[in-house]
Amino acid sequence: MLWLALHFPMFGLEERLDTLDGSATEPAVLVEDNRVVQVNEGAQQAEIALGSTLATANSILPALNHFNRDPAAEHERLSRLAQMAYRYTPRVSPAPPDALLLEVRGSLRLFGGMKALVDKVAADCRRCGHEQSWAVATTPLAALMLARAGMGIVVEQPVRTALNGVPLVHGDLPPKDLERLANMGITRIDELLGLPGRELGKRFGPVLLDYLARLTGDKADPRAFIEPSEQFHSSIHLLEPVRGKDALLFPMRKLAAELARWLARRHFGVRVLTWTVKPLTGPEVVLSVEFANPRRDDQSFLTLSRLKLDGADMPGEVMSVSLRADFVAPFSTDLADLWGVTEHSFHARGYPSRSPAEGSHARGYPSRSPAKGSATHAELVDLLAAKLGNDAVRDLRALDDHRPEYAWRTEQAHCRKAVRAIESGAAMGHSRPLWLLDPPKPVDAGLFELVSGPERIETGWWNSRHLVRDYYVALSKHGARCWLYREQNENWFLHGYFS
Amino acid sequence: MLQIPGIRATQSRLGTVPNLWRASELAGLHGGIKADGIESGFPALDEALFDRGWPQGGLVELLLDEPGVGELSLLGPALASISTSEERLIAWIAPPFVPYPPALGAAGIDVSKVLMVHPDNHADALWTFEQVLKTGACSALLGWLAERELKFTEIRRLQFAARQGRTWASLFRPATAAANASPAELRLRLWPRQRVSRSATRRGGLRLDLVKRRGGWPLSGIEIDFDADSSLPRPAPPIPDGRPCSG
Repeated sequence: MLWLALHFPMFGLEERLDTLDGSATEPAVLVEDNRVVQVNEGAQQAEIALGSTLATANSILPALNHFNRDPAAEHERLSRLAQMAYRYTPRVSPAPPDALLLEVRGSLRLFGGMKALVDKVAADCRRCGHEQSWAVATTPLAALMLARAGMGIVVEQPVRTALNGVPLVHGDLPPKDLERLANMGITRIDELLGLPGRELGKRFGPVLLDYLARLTGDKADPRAFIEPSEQFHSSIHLLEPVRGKDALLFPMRKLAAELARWLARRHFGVRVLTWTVKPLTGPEVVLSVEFANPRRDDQSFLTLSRLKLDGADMPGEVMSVSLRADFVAPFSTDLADLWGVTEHSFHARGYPSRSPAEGSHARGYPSRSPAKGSATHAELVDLLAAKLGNDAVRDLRALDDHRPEYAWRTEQAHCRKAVRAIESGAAMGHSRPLWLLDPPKPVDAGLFELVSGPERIETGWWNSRHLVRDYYVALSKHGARCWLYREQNENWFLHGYFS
Repeated sequence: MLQIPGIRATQSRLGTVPNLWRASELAGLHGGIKADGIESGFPALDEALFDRGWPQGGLVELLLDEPGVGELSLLGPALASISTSEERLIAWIAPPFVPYPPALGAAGIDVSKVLMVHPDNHADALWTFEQVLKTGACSALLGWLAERELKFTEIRRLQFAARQGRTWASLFRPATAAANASPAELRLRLWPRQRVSRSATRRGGLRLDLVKRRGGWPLSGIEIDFDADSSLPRPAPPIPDGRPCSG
């Protein structure tokens, strides 16, 4: 086992600063119980000391930004970093509050050696807004201790010698024990390890002995590894409320990019995105963006989300934005997506050669290639549905039913499935109009001239939609061929145009 | 031979200007021009059209008194041919009635290619038109717009978008619009045939006026007979009167 420990000294402050746009360089401090616990570079230059009160810090630097520590947010951030580190090794273990442990022995060859691996991990952390110190050792506790001490070394031999001279404060001992040891004049780990175990146990209890045994590798130190999450859910809490839809795009872009990385790692695409926008007061707004085919590029997430956002009512002041990915599915790039059309010949369609001319039509027009850069069906459907709503974009289906109004149906185009066209046998031998009126329009039969009919349709007695109708083909006074029917009670209705 | 420097460059540059037609491209001089239109299925109409059929990328205005006079039967054969030869969709934007799937199927139009879009308002409808045309995901578009809100410049945008996405776009407008100018590439006035067939088996026809066409003068009185067209399925056999058809 070889453990890479990553320690983030400024974790809490960086987590807070990450939600601000571009102000990360201004002096800022993290405050817990009215005491400064972390300072960034700007605050350090102003000589704000750790442990001073907020009032002192403010008197030194009135323009100082200060943030209250949020342990819950830090915890969430750490588990997200752990998920991110999962791409380097399947054995990732968070060490709260501000460190990660990666077991990397198995990953060295893949990533080209320890140095390259550490560089990659460090670059990833920096991209997420976290500076880190690191160390590699054969036990997790030793790696952590060395990382906190900022050693940046790789220790492969038994760790005792490497720990020589490391101050005890970088370990995981409780403050009470540290103070007692300091009173005894013991401040470095090698001094502690030199003491006889029996006597130490008597004075400090078995917990300290257990810690030392795990530190040096005399005792096994099993760690719980994270499971890669199958659900993406991430949010950004804004420190200042933002107004307007344009201002929302900044956090949305961040979340979309994060999701795109998450999907790329798993070779997944997403079908449904759910944005939740929480205002200062009032109910939260939920926007859901659906894709006909799984997607994973953040650009299309943003384009479609933006269309959705344009049509939505936004609360005045927004405090947080979160993104959830539902219906994650394996992503596949299809050849059809690349060209917009596939080279299907009309024979392959399996379309029954009902008319002799159909073949000649198709022969006259070999698959014409569409314009360059043309979108696929799915992209168009996504685009339209994002702006107009899912209900406004529909597919048409033929159903096998004798009743004219049940011989068709529309479905949301998102649910597009490869359904074979149903050969409706219902209309066999009878002509049907190209335009259907839905619902039928009551008319005065005197205005029409009947041409042919009746065709009696009497069916549906097994449910409440029993109908008995006599259908006629008729001419309107404008010369349009109409489809009329008469119910048993002699009422006439216009049901379609042959057009 | 006299060579004027630069004229060739000018010529080739002119060739790339959209909506510029050259005299050599006029109708009647078809000889050397490659016609790449979508065959309408009606030879009399194809003969009069610049592309020898519906334009592959361009806006066509169909002007009619009332829906149902035969506008779908006019487009039917061409829609049937592109729905089988192309994988792209056929978009119907805000149709006034339901395109009835059993009848579409009987006309040879692949119903699974039909995409119906119902925008809420005029602005959304224009946006939808433009997206459908520009993205080129559809081979054909059949669209209806609110006539009262429609502006000249909006039609021009649609014409350009249809060019750009190589989509055959049909815009259905009331006949009163024929009097106004329009940037559409082709404008057809549809009249129901004067002498209407009373026969049950015949499906009638249309008289077409070409109000505007590319590469030619307006032309009126093209007679279209839906029954004479061999590319359509045979009309249904006569219905014996009174025979009940109960399921």
